[in-house]
Amino acid sequence: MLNKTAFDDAVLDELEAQAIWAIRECASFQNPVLMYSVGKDSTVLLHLARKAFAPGPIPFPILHIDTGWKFQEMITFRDQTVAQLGLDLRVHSNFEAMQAGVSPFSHGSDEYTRIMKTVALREALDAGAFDLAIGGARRDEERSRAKERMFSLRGSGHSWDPRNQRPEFWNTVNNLLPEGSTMRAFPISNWTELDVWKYIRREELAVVPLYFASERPTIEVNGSILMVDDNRLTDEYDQPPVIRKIRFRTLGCYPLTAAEESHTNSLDELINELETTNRSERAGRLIDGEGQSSMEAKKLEGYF
Amino acid sequence: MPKNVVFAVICGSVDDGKSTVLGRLLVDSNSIPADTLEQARTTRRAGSVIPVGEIDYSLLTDGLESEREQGITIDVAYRHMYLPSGRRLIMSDSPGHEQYTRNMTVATAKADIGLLLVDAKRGVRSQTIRHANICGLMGVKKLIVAVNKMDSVDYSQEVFNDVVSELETKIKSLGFETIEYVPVSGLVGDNVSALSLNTNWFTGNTIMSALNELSADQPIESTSLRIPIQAVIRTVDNRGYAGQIASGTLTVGQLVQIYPSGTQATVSKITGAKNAGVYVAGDAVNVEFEHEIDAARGHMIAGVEESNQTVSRVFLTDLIWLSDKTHTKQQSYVLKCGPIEVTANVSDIRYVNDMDANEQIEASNLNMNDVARVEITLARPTLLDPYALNRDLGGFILCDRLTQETVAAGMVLHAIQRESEVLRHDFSVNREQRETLNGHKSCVLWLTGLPSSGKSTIADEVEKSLFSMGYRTLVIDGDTVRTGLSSDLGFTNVDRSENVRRVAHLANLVMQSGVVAIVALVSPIADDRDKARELFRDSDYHEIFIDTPLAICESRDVKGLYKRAKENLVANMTGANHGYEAPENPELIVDGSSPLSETTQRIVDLVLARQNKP
Repeated sequence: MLNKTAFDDAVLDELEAQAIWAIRECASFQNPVLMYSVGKDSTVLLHLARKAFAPGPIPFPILHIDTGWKFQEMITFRDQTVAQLGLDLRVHSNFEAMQAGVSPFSHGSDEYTRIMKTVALREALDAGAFDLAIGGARRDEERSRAKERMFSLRGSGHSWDPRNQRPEFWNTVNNLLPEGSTMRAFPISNWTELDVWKYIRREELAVVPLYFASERPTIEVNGSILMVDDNRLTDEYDQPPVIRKIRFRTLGCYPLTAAEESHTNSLDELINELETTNRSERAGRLIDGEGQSSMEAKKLEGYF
Repeated sequence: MPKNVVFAVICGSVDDGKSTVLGRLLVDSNSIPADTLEQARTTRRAGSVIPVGEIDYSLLTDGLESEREQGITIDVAYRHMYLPSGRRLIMSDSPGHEQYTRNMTVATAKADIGLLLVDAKRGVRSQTIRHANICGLMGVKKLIVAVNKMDSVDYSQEVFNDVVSELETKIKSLGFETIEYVPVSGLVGDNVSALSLNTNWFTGNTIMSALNELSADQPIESTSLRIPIQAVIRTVDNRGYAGQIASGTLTVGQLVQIYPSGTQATVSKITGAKNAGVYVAGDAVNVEFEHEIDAARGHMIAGVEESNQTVSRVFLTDLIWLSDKTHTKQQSYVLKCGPIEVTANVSDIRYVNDMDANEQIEASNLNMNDVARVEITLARPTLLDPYALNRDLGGFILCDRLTQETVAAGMVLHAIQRESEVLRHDFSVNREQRETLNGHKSCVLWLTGLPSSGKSTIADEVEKSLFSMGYRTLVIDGDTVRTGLSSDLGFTNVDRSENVRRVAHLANLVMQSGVVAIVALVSPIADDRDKARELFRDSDYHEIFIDTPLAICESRDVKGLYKRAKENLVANMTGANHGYEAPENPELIVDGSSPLSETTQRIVDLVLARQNKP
């Protein structure tokens, strides 16, 4: 009988092998791209992609959709990672909308997310003629994601038709695409948030420091603690920043990502906190809440 | 493959209470976040009778908006459950409606354990049987049957026993290793994770303890090495072949065989996700070899032990048709099994399984949700294993060439070996060496003609003549074959074809041994003879038509066949009421009514002439 740590390790081995299998299948597509959002899931995905093709390089480019509202620390971490690993990074933003001044404040979180994330992603995939986008989404994150195939077909306009998904069997991927369709792949579908953190600990991966508690300038809006990353936030809400010891459980656009007050500043503490508190992961994502099935609605339009 | 992440499927007819049972399992195993649980206490769907403050378990497993609107499950949801043992269970929540059978099939593909729900009050339904069938077909070995809603039948042991005995007779032949029956109420919580006092007559496992026990069973595996190559990884100074070990073990220095080329190579380096001396099934590896080999995605790294390699072009398989586009004859598909990709035809539909009637019915087309046993023929010899040995190596999909859609899922039963497709072992002594020893070249003389045309008599004379000249010979006579090799066959067209096929292969073996094979066989059907001819090189095969007038054959009537046929005593006899198709381009035509010595000499001359040809 294995003890708990050995069990965890054995589970991680199996999840890792399955993810590497999926990433290698991705290389059978004509023009794949690996989505990189700088967060913990992307960090794991990137590491798995490196392992999948070791000792060779990752045979496809990395894509980051920059909304212009990402935490500065994320951008710094991204650029360090890219330089260190010698990755072929493509950054895409919806420049037209940026210039028109689309922000979470001006358009509301739903419309902002549609324009700056969904539309930007569609544009980037079309511009690069990518037939496959590999992402770090997981089934345990959210209820519509629990419905997603590991290899998920997208129709014209990158739309998802959850009522008519392509069947998926064993370790066999139907990588044939009808004209106008593309594929999304989710190699870490079967991982949980805890698996991700335990894997980061085991593999000694660097993550954005925002996941760990530190004293940071914040304001409180509608009961959510937001971090003041630059003066656009304080300008909008016209509040003086307050220093709080905070950390983030997930990282998105900073005006839409709530922090939690915390003293957790090591991986061991973080994992222990997750094992004992048992609160759903995306509770801090302000964009998920709008409408009864916000994530599903976004995914139908081509959101990740 | 060690399994600490175990897959299970929850299935059963619509409204048999899957969501509630699953919801309760998730809550009881502490797999639901506290805030989500709180929502399930406070939020209510229209028409819900569950009081606010109690958990509405069905809310925990809801997925898509359209599913919530209709209150049904359309597609599979995958949910994590933490078992008391510490193992991870991924539960595929499958739809109960017949129109979503395709999605239910998807949910079973990886499942080791099936949790089948039956409503105690409504009893066994056709969807219950259908789902049990699909579980069995897709290789689910362990089944837990939850007889649900026991509260609605006053926890009656009799009702439970009735459901169990009805179901048992219907599913006992579906190939499950274990079937456990549990009386359950998802609504009240009886026997889901704790034994209930309401059913004090029941002493078996709860669903939770059954899942816990069954997930600890490790699957029995094949030990033959199989690594389907997914990608070729090029570095500056080497090429590696990347894939996941599907079965067997791999170490540096090991000799392996690459398919389909058959090349052997020695492993020089293995890069795994982590360093190990011996890599085992499940490990993702990148393999380099001592010498350059010619391999690509879709090829297979396999062991060198040849007894278990089933390279063939033809396979007997089960097939589940998933598309609303009907399969008709002559359609060709792309078959995919992992990275293997090959053109395939459904060459024969043996039968379609009518699950409701438990009958095998003849069919020429395949429609949505049909489960059929078929023979598939591939464009090139391919290494596929029986699905029962390994799902990843024996499970395949068929893709439509126009729409690119996955139209069928298939499970290999076994390869059908056609002589020319067997991967032959190179034996040290070959035909030429045997011919040298014998002092002459061998060949086949195939004598075809009506009954009593004189085939056996001529064959006998030819053999005597050749024998006296020092030739090694053997007569393969139709009547002799019928008493032994083909004693299981009758005289229908199918059986005649099979008889000709067997004789042709026997003649080939005789010829390979360096002996002149003299076949005396009616072999009335041109197509059968043409197939026989295909086994040989032109210079080796001589079709000799013994063209004796029918009247003479009838007058000879050695075995009294013509006479009995006229009296309708022998059905299907060639000549009288069954067409003999005369050869169009035989190597030689002789008249069986001509003088025997003359006929013999003309045939012997063929063998003599053969000696000067390559």
